[in-house]
Amino acid sequence: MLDRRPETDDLQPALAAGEELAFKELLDRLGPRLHRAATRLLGSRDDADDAVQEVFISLVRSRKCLLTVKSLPAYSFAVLHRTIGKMLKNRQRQPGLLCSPHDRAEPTSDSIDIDEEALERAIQSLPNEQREVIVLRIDGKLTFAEISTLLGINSNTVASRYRYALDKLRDALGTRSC
Amino acid sequence: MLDPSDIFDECCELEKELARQPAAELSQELQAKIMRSVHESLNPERPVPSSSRTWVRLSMASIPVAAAVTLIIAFSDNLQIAPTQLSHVVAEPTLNEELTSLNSQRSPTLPTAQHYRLTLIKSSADWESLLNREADLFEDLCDDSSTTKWRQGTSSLHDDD
Repeated sequence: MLDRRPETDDLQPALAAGEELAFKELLDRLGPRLHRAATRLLGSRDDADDAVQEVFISLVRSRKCLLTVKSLPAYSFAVLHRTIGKMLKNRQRQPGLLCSPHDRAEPTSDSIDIDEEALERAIQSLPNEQREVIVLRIDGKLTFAEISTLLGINSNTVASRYRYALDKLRDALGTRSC
Repeated sequence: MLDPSDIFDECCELEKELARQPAAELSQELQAKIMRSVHESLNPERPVPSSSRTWVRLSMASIPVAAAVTLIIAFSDNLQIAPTQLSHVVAEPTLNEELTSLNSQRSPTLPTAQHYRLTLIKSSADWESLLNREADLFEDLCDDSSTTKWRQGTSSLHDDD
């Protein structure tokens, strides 16, 4: 089961009060995942920069309701998803970009050795609807129920897309199935 | 049919490994850029020095109602200003209804008039890039003749103290 620690609960009152340092803290905590998700969905790091900036502007504007948001990470990724939807409508989609070496993270598990360039290529090769679910689940750490609400589709459909996406990634990466 | 709980309970090394991959830190430049936007968004009531106030008048011969509303929303959202700061937003009666509906969600007053014209108040240093970005949106929404007028309008920027 994916880890779902309440990583931002402590920030919500300060965010709602408009404290700039709280937004900086939120940027530190969620920014990298938001940016990686945006890069994977938009296929462009420059566009991902814009997307994350738009997310934070939206969060500032809606800060008063952040106090009552059940899950700030889920809310933030919902805003990101909406932002990306607008951007994809207005801009021609760029071909997928691989992560640059400075984005490449060191492997943290010795159970599976994942080539990160191969991983990004594999994610970019997924059908859009599967990539969307994978990114929201892995980067956003959203539950299937949250993804279902966000995308407006049945949670079984979410689970199916997720399963098929994992199968494709597994095949592309050449890892053993569990 | 696949039960979502099967996914939750399933022991999947790939899934765990994907979840463990740490995302790279944002660049210092990007962090600074985002925090500048946050700061500006948190402080919208800063008085605008008159010397830096820029007025842009755009005349649009014809524009679908939905497109005009979309454009106005896009402008006010991207410029982070309320529609009442679009001090000369004007529209034909059918558009007035849309704007009135929009306005009721945002602020109590919005002037009305007889033809489409947007006057934008903008004080940010990112004016040019913002205009270029919105030009793409405008071109998507409107026909070629309107786009031509848009381009002419953006070339007539002037300061109004």
